[in-house]
Amino acid sequence: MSDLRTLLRDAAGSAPVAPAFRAVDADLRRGRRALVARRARWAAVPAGLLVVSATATVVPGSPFAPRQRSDAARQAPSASAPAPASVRPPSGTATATAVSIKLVGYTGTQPAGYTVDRVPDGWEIQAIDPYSLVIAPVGFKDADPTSFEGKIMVSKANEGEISVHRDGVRPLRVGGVTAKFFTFPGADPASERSKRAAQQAAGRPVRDDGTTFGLLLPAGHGDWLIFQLPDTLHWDAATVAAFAAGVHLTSHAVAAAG
Amino acid sequence: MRAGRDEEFADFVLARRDHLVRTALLLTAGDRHLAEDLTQSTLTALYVNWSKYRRAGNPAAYARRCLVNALIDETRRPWWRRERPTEGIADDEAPVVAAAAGPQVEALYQALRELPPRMRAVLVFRYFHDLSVADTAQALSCSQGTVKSQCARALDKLRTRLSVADPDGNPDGHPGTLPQGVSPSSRATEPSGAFHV
Repeated sequence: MSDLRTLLRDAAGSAPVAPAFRAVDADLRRGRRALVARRARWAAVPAGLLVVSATATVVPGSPFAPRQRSDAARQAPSASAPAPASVRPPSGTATATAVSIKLVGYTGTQPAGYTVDRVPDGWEIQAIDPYSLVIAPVGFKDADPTSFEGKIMVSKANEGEISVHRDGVRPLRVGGVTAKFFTFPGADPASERSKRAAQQAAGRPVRDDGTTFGLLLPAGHGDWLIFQLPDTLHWDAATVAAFAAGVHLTSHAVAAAG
Repeated sequence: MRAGRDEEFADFVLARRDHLVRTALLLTAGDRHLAEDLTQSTLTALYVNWSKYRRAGNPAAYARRCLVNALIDETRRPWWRRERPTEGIADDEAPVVAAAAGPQVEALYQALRELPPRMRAVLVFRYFHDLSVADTAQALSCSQGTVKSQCARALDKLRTRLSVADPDGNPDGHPGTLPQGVSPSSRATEPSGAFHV
């Protein structure tokens, strides 16, 4: 058997690759569209919006206090938690709050891994285990807890997710710490169409991607929580901060390897 | 007529796209569709951040980092079935390329699929791109110690996996013939005709 270098070269050369000259125009179009979209997106978000200090409305013992709970504290009924903080974006920064899904207190069971103080109104915890917390609309058609399309997913960030460099990261104050707010790379519509066609041809499930926002939140002891938030929530930065402040990592959480 | 950013970007695509796709093919363990997606995501990110790319002291490293970023973020796309340490490989994640690629390549892709993405990236950068430990650490935004340990673990897993897959493997359980000339501490010689991003 060959050595690893030879094997890797054989493997890399084993698939036909379309000549670059055929793809360059499409690559250019995707790049231009992404640049226009990014400029439009940031133009629509006032510069101060993402620096929302949830601590402005913190009361003692509120969810905005220390990020990592003890197991004993985790078992406390969440119904006793204070009402969701009233956080508002700075004046003059009204965005899509009229259609955003508001937060309500969560009163359900809090198993190991993560605990949550608030959930979007009409949403429920679909799955919670040491790897991830999955929140979805009540009665959501996709009940697979390992499928995250259109759902909120929170997990303990692994090394790669923490260290990876992302462009366009904005600071977001959450409960006295500074989190990193970003957008996961969006799929280009043309690319999505071609991917859907390929998935159909291969008999694989056909999926659509919407814009997905991400948040990396320091959780104490060198740990980070990473949030995946679908754009269907229509949340402003203040609501994102309020929700994130109510999610707690327990000692049972495990970062997934992937 | 293209000008400025467009012209430079087009030149980059013509010169480097093929290498990007082939690197992505290894990073995705042979999934051609995902490799093309990652390449497109990487090129789009490069176009949007072209000024950063031009300013980068090591443009190739910047491009490699973009590719790894795309890979890591890809695993968090909404539809992704998240990899968990305790689970096997789902049938619908099978690579598309392996079937026609010969038994050795097929076995390699199968083994790569069982590695976490960053561990896979360490192998690809160290033994396909022949990057040093330091350059691999830079590409993956991690410490050199992490690269060494991930590389050692990846090689162990590969040896085990490929010795099982190799019908001519040593019956005494010796870890196969795979990278006998490649050890975690070996420094690559400068490649001839190696792929570069």
